[in-house]
Amino acid sequence: MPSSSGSTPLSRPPEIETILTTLSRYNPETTTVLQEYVVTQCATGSYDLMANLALLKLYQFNPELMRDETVLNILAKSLTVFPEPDFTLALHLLPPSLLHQYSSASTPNSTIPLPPAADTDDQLSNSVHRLTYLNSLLELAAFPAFWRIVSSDVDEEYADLVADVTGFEDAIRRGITKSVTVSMRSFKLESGLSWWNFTNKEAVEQWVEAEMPGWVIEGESIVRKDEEDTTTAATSAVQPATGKIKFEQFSRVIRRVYENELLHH
Amino acid sequence: MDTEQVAYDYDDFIQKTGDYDFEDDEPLATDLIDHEGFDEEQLLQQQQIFQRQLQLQQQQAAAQLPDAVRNFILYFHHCMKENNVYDLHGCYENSFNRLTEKFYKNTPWPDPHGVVAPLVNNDQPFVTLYTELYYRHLYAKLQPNLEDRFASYDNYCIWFNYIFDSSSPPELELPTNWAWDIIDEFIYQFNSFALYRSRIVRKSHNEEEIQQLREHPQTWSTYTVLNVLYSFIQKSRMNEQLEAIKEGRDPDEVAGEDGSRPLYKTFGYFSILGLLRVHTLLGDFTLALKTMEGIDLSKKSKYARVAGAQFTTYYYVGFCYMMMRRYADAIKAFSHILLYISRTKGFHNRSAQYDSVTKRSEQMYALLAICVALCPTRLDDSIHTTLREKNGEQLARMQRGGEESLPVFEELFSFACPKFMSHGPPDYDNPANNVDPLQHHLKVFMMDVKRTMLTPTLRSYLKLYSTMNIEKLATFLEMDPEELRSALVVFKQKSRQVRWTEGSLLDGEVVNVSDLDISLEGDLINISEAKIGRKFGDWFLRNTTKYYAVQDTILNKNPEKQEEKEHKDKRRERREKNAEKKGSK
Repeated sequence: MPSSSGSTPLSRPPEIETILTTLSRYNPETTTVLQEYVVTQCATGSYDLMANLALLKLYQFNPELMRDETVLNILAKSLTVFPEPDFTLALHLLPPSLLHQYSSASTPNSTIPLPPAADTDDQLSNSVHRLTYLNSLLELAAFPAFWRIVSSDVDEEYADLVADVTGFEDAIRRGITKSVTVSMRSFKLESGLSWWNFTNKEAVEQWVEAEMPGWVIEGESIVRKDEEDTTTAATSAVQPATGKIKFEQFSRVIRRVYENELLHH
Repeated sequence: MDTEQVAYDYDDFIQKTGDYDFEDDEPLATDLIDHEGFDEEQLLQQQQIFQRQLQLQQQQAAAQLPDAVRNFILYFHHCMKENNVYDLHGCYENSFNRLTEKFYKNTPWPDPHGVVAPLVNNDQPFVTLYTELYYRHLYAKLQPNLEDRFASYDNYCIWFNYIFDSSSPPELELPTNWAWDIIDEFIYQFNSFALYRSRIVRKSHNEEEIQQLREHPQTWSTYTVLNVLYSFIQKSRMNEQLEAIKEGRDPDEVAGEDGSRPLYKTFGYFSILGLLRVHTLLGDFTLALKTMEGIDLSKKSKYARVAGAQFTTYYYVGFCYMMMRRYADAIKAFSHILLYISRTKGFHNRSAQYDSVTKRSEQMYALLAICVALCPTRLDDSIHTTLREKNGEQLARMQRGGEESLPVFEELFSFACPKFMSHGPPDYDNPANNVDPLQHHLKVFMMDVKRTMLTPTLRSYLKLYSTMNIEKLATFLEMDPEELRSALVVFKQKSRQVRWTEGSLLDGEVVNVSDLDISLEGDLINISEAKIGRKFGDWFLRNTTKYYAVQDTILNKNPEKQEEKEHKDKRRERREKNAEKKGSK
């Protein structure tokens, strides 16, 4: 299935399309329109990468127009389309000072990093650090940790940051589903609880029925039923070695043999 | 020459002032006015003297101008007036470089306004073009200071205004590689200025320069550069033209009056490549690739013959792909152009371009190493050999993964990346607040890299088995089984990328790019490996011949062959001596 980050989403209204395809994208006054569009995306669940990046670029060119809230919403939105690299692309367009002090230490014996300190003087910086951490967790497929942090009582900031995006949890669940369907052929129901952040098995079953066509519940596992998918190869594809060699390629060897054997004996 | 004219003016002036007898003046009530008048006259007189001296000096300098250079300038001017593109190309490519080597290796060319302008009767377009060459040479061989940078910016403004003058668009036609060099240099100077500015602010001891920077925010501003590039594209309706070409129609139909002029067409096309570069420098990789929408890289357009443009394009396209995690596409872009460079090595030995091409190709090998480490792929043999020569050790360390690989990634990235810049002026008041954009992009890139640190270890284990239990693998790796499950999902995820098959550069399909494929069944990992058939026939033949050669050396057989070899060596020596003799003449 072709995918293109540059393609136009169906939900994009025509005035946004005009902005993006003409020089209006550099006009500082269009920030208001694009900001409104971000709000719409958050409310309706649609998503438009190019428009969001264009807005970040306008902020880059006109730092005084930058709205913290909008930036954070764009970042939160791009979390929902993981595993696409959209979050990283957005980070590249942010002012360098925001990420300057970001660091997340690793724990010994674990691949999952610790949350960042998020204690700089700048509130926006701290929020960006938090969202970056969430992105890391998703990228590392550390889904149980992700849910733990997002709904954490210890640091409620995380929950605040994603609150504006309607359907955030379901969108993340869908992303996780994508990862699961790509890499697995059967999956323990129990794991589903922690990976999808459901509290009971019925919720998992409902989710599988609704979101994962071709997968059924068999006992304690969720199993893929349709064998048509080509994402996982069950057998190794060994290609036979090509055996055709042209006679001319032997010429040097033959000449050599001729010189060796026939001339000198 | 102008000497006569000056003398006439001066004599004239003397005659006129001669009428006015200063000494006879009585100090009257109007003393003040007369006094001022006296000073004014004297000032004028002094000015005239000074100007005459200056002109004399310039004439001397012009007279000191080597004949070759003067003739070159006059001939150059002549070609331009005649619109003789072919000869203009010769002037530009050969004569200019030859004369630079001979006379101006480390000094600037003659001053455009003082020396060259009078020579060509102040023909403004020519002087502007010459000034562009003058500054390009200055930037390349010498260290331009702030004044030079401002002056070259002004010159570019004059040049672009001249071209965009719609009332009388110039009939001029420049050779394509010169047009590319102008755009290329324009963006290079823009980039260089931004770096220079941030360096000054960081060192913050040159108050005068900082003050000048503050007062001239428009000079070398991003908006100006973007404006120029977009104007070219719009004026030549380049995007429409490219679309027409793609659909097989005649581009001139949509080109409009301006767009069909060769000058605008050339500049329009190269401005698209220029935008690719500017957007990448500002960190907007998606927009950079989107701007290239109309251009089909696989087609050989007449602009593809400008080698410099090709190298730059592929470098930036590959880099953008890499930053978008499309490593397979990046590898393809880099391999393509590196192969091209290695095959045309002989043609690029002109000193002007050779250094920059070498540097670029080193950078591309470094980026290629990074991409191969992150996405193991089979490379073309010759590229693979050269890569191992240049970056072999670093490649090995990156491929081993783990903590030790991270500094290598950082080192190569910092060496090979474009010179990132920030859009606007730095914070003059708080220099400490200015973070280097390179560090920023490096940091974001390394965040991605860190997440793949475990992959090489995983690969090495997975290659050994066709099925394996998660618990068992977890024990081998000393990891928590649940974390391992996540790591395996990541591994699977990373092996699937968007890869270009057709259409614009941003399009692509998600495919498996790894030779190793896994799927998890509960706690069981199924592994499959794609084995590519090796062409062992060729391998055996090559090695058989090599073996024979080794055998020869050991047995010291074949005295005839030895004689022939000695003969060949002597001939080569003689040839080299002759070449030396010819060179010193």
